[in-house]
Amino acid sequence: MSRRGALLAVLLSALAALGAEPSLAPDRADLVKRLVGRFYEQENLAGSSGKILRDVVLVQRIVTSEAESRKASIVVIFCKNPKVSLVFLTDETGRATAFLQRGTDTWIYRESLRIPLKVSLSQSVFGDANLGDILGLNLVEDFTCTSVAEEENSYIFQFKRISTTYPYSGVDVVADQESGDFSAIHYRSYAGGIIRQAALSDYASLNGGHRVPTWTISSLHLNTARSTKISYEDIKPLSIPEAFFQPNANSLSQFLRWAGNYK
Amino acid sequence: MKAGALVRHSFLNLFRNKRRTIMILFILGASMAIIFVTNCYLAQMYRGMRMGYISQTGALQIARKGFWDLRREGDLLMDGAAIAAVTELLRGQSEVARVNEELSLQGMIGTEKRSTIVNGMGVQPDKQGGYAGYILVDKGSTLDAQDLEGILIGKPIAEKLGLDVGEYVTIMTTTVDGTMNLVSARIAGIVTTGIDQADAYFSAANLSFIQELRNTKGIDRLLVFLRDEGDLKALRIRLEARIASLGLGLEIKTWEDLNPFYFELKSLYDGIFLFIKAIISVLVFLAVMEIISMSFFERFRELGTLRAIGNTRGEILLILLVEVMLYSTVGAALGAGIGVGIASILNGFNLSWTPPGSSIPVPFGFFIRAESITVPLLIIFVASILAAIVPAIRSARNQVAEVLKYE
Repeated sequence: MSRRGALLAVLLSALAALGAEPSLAPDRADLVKRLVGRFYEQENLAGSSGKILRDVVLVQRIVTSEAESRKASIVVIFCKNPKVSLVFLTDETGRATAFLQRGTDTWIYRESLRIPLKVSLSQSVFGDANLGDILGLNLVEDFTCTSVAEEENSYIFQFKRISTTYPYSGVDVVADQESGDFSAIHYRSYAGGIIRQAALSDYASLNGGHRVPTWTISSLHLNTARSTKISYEDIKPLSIPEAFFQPNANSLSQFLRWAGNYK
Repeated sequence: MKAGALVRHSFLNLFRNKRRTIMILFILGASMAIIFVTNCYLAQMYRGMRMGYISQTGALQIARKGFWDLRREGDLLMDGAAIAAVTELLRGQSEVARVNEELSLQGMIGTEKRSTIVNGMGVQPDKQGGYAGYILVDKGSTLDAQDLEGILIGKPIAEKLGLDVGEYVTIMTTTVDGTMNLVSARIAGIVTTGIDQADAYFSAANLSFIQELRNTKGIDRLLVFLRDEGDLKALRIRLEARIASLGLGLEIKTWEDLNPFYFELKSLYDGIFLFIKAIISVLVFLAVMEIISMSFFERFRELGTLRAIGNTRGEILLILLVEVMLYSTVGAALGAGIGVGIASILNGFNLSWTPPGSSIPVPFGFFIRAESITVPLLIIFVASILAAIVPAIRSARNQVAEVLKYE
């Protein structure tokens, strides 16, 4: 290598070092891995890699509370794996809506439509809950932890998104030091400010072994007194027909009828 | 000296040095023509903008109190009873030509391949004005009152989503009570509003279609179109009193309230052209002063002779100023004639141009009217008199004996 080339290489590596995220100390990295892994294992939906192990169906209830009104909805999630899932949602009027997620692509469909509509994961579907909330956050595959801080009895993990298609630039996760349970998640906008927050509380056991929290989501951006609660009602394995996972009216129409019967 | 003789003397002086007279008339005439044509262009532009805004928003709009408050949360819709009461009231007003109903829509539009944000409105296609006043159909057709699933979309939306006329799209929005709703619509036409940024979000559909999608029978606002511009202020005051008596919690905005951009743009252009007029005035002043000074200087002995035969200083000053007035009158008349000619010829070509940020060419014309002459006329006369007054006073004040000795 010429002297000029060597100098350039040194400069480039120095610049790369300046721009790189500081890596976590080994003990901190272990802590993050342990607590994140535990979060998914407790749900018994995923291994420590954050990957859902099998076809599974989750039944959730979403309740949005505003000053004087409450609206409830049932959500049934059919997962092939963490990146392919179908959501069956019935609102308070009984109308059924299907959401198909494949990777970072998401579609929405209703029986009367001629074609499904491709939407973003950040699309609010009920109250302040968006598809990302309903389908869950994959801290292992979509995020990387950049720092760990301690505050009274909590750890605060800062995660930065890996995929640019994810609707938030990062999340801060607050975990209880004693129990290891996650108690809050703050979602950061592209500008870095916190725009939404989720409180994770009332961890409860469900169907033998699943330990799941109730999520209370509120939008700081909208500055309203509204909050949306997502609680789990059922989790069980189920074989889901492969043909449903296509973004076209025919497949999703079939899915709506099938899921309607299942519900 | 008698007044007739004074004017005659001044008039004959115009022919004393023909080349100089032509030069000064050219300067005055050209300045007059430039300012006049500019005034006509501005008048046409302001008239076009005003008519455009009125055709889009109506001369008046009526909506629930707080509807135009940017901090409002949620919808503020007029229900069926309010619509009926106000429509009945407006029907009794002789100035009102028609009343259009509108309901807005914010949501997403797209297909299984991609989607985009849309800022649409529900309109009444069987009525003129409103949306129809500012869209140009690029492909397909405009809305049909009988075609309930037809929708118009902006050209950039069609390009972004890869859509063509006759194809179906899905629209997603929230109902007035906040529930998500979806519906399929067929693209009836691909249109442009003339403004690229607006086209990127534009869509319009039948009012009943949007009302069904938003699960309401209400509307955002009533657009009131008048037979002619008339006395808008008086009509507004009268309607406000009548509407307040209905007790429905409604408010009225005029097109002037709804389009502050018109006045911002007008004051910007007025400022720019005021600067141009000031520059022209200074140029006229300097050129006239130079030529008039030269003209008076050359007639030093002649002016001395006039004084020697008994004319007073005042009469000499008057002769010189009347001469300048004659220059100004002839120059202004020539300039006005040339200006009217240029404006008429250019109007005859039916020229158009596309302003920055616009996608529709707009007419490039001149609104020829008597008011457009006033300002240039004042500029020409005032600048000429001011330019001539100092050399005229100096010429009139000279001592007769000294002037007669001047070689």
